Amino acid sequence: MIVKSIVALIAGLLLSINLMAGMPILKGIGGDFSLNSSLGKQVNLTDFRGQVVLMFFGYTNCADICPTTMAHMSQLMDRLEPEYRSRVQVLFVSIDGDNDTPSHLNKYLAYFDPSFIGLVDTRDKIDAVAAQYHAEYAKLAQTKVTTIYKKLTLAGESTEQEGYLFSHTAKIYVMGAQGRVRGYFYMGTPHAEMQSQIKQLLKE
Amino acid sequence: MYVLLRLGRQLGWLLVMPLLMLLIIGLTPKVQASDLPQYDLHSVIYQWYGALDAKGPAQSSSHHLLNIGQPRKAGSGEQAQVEVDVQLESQDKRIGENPYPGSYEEHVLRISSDLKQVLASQTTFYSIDDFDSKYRPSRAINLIKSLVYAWTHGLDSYDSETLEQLLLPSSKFIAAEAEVQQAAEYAPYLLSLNYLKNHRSLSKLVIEAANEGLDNYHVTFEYQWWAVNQQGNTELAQIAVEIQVQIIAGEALIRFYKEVYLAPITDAGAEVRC
Repeated sequence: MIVKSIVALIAGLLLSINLMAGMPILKGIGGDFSLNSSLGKQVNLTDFRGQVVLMFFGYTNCADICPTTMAHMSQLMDRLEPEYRSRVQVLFVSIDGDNDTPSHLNKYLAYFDPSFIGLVDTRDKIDAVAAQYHAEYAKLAQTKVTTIYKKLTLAGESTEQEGYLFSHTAKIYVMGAQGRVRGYFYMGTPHAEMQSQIKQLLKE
Repeated sequence: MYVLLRLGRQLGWLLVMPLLMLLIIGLTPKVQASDLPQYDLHSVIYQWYGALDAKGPAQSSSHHLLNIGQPRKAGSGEQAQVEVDVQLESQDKRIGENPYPGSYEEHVLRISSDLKQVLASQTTFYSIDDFDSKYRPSRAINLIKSLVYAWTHGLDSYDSETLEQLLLPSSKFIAAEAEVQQAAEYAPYLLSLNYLKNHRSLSKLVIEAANEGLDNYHVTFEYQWWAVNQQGNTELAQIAVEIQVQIIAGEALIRFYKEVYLAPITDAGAEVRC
């Protein structure tokens, strides 16, 4: 009984501290941009004013962090109540413009959540947005990779062809209703914490 | 409080604890002023020891500060001075001897109420080391730390005059903010942001000799800049600063200043890379 009470006390304490810690506005990072999207048109960050935007830099041939993070955000969306869910937008910025087309991004993201929007554009434009958000990435040497998405991309081509890997940040950039960066989530951020922070941002 | 404790037993602590925490935090001051480093105080102390290091033949003494205590009031009234305890390792260069024992010392410094001048120093503890050490000069380090702390305080207090005094007239200045083109615009720009609170924390200070013969040094450090805006929101920035310093007549001055924004680290877990 005493142990139970202590556990409840600690859990309550942690929960209360978590709920009180709001996300600060991060200076010197972020800003508006305009990129081609999986919707088949240009998307501006300003299109999502009034919404919380969760933005991730990745690529569809990624075997680990990208699909895991997308799945984590998909589960988050499922947990959010409809009134909050409609005010959260997930953006997936492809750092692999050589292989990821808007239609391929659409197919990839629909697997996780049809509301997710993919962004892909010329290397220069993607690099400019990545620099704005301090989202470092680098293409690594040709390495053999096999994922379901790799196979889809290379349908009809030789399965012996070598793939590639990107080293990239695993941050989920969290933007508040005014479009300013408020912090980061990652695939290890508990859903309860993400929900709490998102609701707090939407109440501002 | 009694009501909350009764509720805790009846409804379960998981529900009541957040309310209890809100109450406790509401009653506690958010940030104690004394918790924040006083860069103006640290600046005047490092300048004092840097000046001592520069005295004497061939700058033959060194003072390596180990700790600066919390300041306390000395005297009463508006002109009350400030006293502070300083712990340091001191060395006096001995000709023909290296290594040799230095000394551990504790000083009490009396500082003017405006924190601009050390008025008196008293040694309260002195102990010769029971080990030998090589002579390590400290003059440049102390003077440069004084400069960096004074600069930091100047930014936090929007003190244009101090900032300009710390720059050589021919210095080159590149701010992180695109709106600021020259040093003279920096403090007025920061003031125009109308922050309710504003504080920089220094970290990763590295001092390297660029040309020791000419007393030129290359210095890098980072600021974590924390502010509360007019809407009551906390703003956070991480800034990398690179400066080139020249020591002229016992004073370190900036001849090149460049800062860039970094991505603030708010959650170590989010720093993993794929």
